[in-house]
Amino acid sequence: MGLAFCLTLVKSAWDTTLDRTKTNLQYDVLSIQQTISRNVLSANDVTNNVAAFVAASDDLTKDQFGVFAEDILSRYTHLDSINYFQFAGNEEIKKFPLLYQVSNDAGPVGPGQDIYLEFQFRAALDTAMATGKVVPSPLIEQHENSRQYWLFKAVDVTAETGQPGSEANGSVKGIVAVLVSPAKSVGHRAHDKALTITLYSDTVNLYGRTQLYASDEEQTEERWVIENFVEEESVQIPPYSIKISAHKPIYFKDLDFGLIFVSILLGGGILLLMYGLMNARRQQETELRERNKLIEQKVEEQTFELEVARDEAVKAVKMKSEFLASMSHEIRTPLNAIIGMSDLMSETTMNDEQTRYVSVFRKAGDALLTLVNDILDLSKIEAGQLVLENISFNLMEIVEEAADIYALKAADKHLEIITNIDTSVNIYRVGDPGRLKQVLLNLISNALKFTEKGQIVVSLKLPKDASDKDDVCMSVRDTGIGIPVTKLETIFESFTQADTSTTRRYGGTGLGLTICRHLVTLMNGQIWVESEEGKGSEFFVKVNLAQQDKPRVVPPDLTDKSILIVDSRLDNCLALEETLKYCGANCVNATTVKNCVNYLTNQQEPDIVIVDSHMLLDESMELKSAFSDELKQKTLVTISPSYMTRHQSVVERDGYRKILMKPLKRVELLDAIRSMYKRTSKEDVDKIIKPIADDNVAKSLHILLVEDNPDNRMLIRAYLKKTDHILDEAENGEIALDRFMSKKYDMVFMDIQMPVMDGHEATKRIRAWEQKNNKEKTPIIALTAHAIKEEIDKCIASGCDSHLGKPVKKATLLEAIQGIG
Amino acid sequence: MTEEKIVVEVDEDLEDLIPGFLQNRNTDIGKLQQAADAGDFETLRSIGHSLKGVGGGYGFEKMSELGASIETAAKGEQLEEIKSCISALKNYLQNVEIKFV
Repeated sequence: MGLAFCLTLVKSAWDTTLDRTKTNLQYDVLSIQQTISRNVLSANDVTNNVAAFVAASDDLTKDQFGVFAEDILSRYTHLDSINYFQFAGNEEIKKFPLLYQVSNDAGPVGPGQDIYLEFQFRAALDTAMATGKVVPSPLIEQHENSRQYWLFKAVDVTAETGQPGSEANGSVKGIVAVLVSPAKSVGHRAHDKALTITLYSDTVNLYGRTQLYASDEEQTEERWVIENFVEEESVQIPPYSIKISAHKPIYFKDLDFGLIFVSILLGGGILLLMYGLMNARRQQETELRERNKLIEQKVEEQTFELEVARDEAVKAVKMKSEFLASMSHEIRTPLNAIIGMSDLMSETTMNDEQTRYVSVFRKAGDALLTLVNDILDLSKIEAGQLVLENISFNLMEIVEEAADIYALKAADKHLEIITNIDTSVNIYRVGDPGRLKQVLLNLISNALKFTEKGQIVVSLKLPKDASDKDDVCMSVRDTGIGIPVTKLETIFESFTQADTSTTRRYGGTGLGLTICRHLVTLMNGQIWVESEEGKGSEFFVKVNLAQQDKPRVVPPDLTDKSILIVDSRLDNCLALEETLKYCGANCVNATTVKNCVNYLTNQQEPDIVIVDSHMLLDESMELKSAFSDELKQKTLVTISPSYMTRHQSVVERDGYRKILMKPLKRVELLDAIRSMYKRTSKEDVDKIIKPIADDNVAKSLHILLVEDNPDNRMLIRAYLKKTDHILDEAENGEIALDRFMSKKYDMVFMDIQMPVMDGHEATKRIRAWEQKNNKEKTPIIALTAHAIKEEIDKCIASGCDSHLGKPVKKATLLEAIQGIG
Repeated sequence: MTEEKIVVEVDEDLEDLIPGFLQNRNTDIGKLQQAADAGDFETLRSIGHSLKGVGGGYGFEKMSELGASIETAAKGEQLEEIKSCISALKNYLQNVEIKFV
């Protein structure tokens, strides 16, 4: 671009300079042309004047002519000589001998010479005589570089009359001839200006164009001709005309270079400027690159420093965790003493006020213990001290118990906890049931905290993308506030909730999810969350738990039985369907009262109805009337804990035979259905119960029952009446220990609260004795009054393998025995 | 209220035990009334605890509830509460109708 600009600039400067040179030249040529035309005209005038002078003087002497002519020659330098030829012939023969001559140098004619005898001039002389006008002669070339021509004019006799030419022929007195030098007419100026001047003469009817003068052609040499300059002008003097032509080639050196230089300088300057700019930019880029390199280097240095800092931080965290672990332990010991003392104190006689106070500090102690336990767990994990157990357990029980524990709390908020166990999952697994339950409890407690209405569905299923046959997936889905996408990862970090303001609103230690993640990671599993803000969250736990080859409980055969499930919560219907379909039943769901009534009136009566009390006792009481007494016998009523007190007595009074508390457990549900069949048809019962019973008694076991209450001992004995198991009884721990050491037992049922020696102590002593005598560990199942975590943990800590909640149901008892066998 | 029959389902395996069980409970009521008259809260608590432990297992949920109430009230030495529980228990045992399933 700079170059283009530069070129345009130079071009315009060039044009301007050329134009100016041409204009200058034009002025020069014009003045030279004027000089020449003046000279040409003056030569003509002189000829006329001399002719007039001669005509006027009758007796013209040589002296008179000489004075006159010399005066003229001195004034007009381009005239070489003035001559007068007097007529001396007759009509036939014309003679014009030279009479007077005034000349600057030796003229072309000598004295007495007859001009008329010169043939070359005759035509011109004749014309002059015929017209009486000034007529030029052809060129006389005396020698090189000296061309001349004559101007003739006839002098008439009657010249004085003032009628020249009227009687020209025959009355001619003489001829005036003026010799003109064209070179002198042109003068030296033309030569100085290096102009090529050419003079042409045109004489009408006489001869064609004659070149009078041509200045020396310039030697063109090897000069650079830019342009040829030509200017022409003509002087008209009838009957002839002189044409002046000026020609000059314009050479490069002739131009005025000032402007061009300036333009070249300017263009160059701009070019340099642009180059400079580009250079500056390039330099800037280079600088930037260097600076970037410097920054990168700095970042690397800082990264290294950060790595060092991180390593130190990790070390510090580990140290902190170790400190916390030992600290927590130290805190726990006195805390347990406080809680234990408050327990003992509540056993003593107190008034209402005291009872209330004690219960408050007992609760506060429990809360503190939970927090300390959380911290202890977390620090144990972070310090790498937590070792997972690897025992066989029933995964379904873990899920159902976890749901059960929070069922009442959920009922307080009018929420429901629903368990949905996929029937294709083998529930007998090997792993750490305690820690798995802890994870589930944390997730459920979390879901409860952030959910105001709806339900919480706890599911156990096979993962969609199972990489291993032992993979299982548990999930806790809520209909709560949800988690923003940006927080999905951070919520697993310590003391973090989706929003810091939620900590204030919902409370909690903020350690739950962190512990969950650590525990799941320790199990080589994965924990993640999917959530939609405002709609709810679903936490997933995928773990790998080895399967055990234990015979599954044969489910009741419900093939071709139609079952109507009535529950406003679809998740409940689906969970029930999952179990019942597995038994071969055809299920129909009704989530509204209207649907249910429609089905009952329009379809064949179902074999079984499972109806939620909330629907049955709907305000409209529509459904209540749809149940006939006969149908009531086939109906299983489910009651959610929030309606327990209000609905249970009403349902019982109305004559419904079977009631189940939510959250439903699979074993209880199947038991209930079995017992309904038992009632309706004895044959069916045998079909359903027998095969299971056969399975159960496949092996006869020696069982020791340790229980202080005789009625409960009788109860268990009655349950085992139909089996082949052999039952021994002990009233307390001390008697149990004696029996155990004297006889080999396959399993022990151990009550915990007993006089003389309680279950914990008895179990510890049994384990110690086994170890001392190198005996295999006998399965001990604790019988606990409350299925709370602390109590169960305590039993497990004493050496029990598992536990059963009291009151003991027949099915759970048989299943527990089957689990051992 | 006293006229209404209370139906309780009991596992048929326990059929043989029930008469003895109910006899034991009537004995318990006698003991409870004696203890209540004597203000022997320890005996009241102990029997209440025992009732709580056995009722549910046999299918008598209500018996467990009343036993628990007696146990708690005995700890707080609330005699009036205990007496009303004892009469409720007595009433319950008189009106209970057992169905073996």
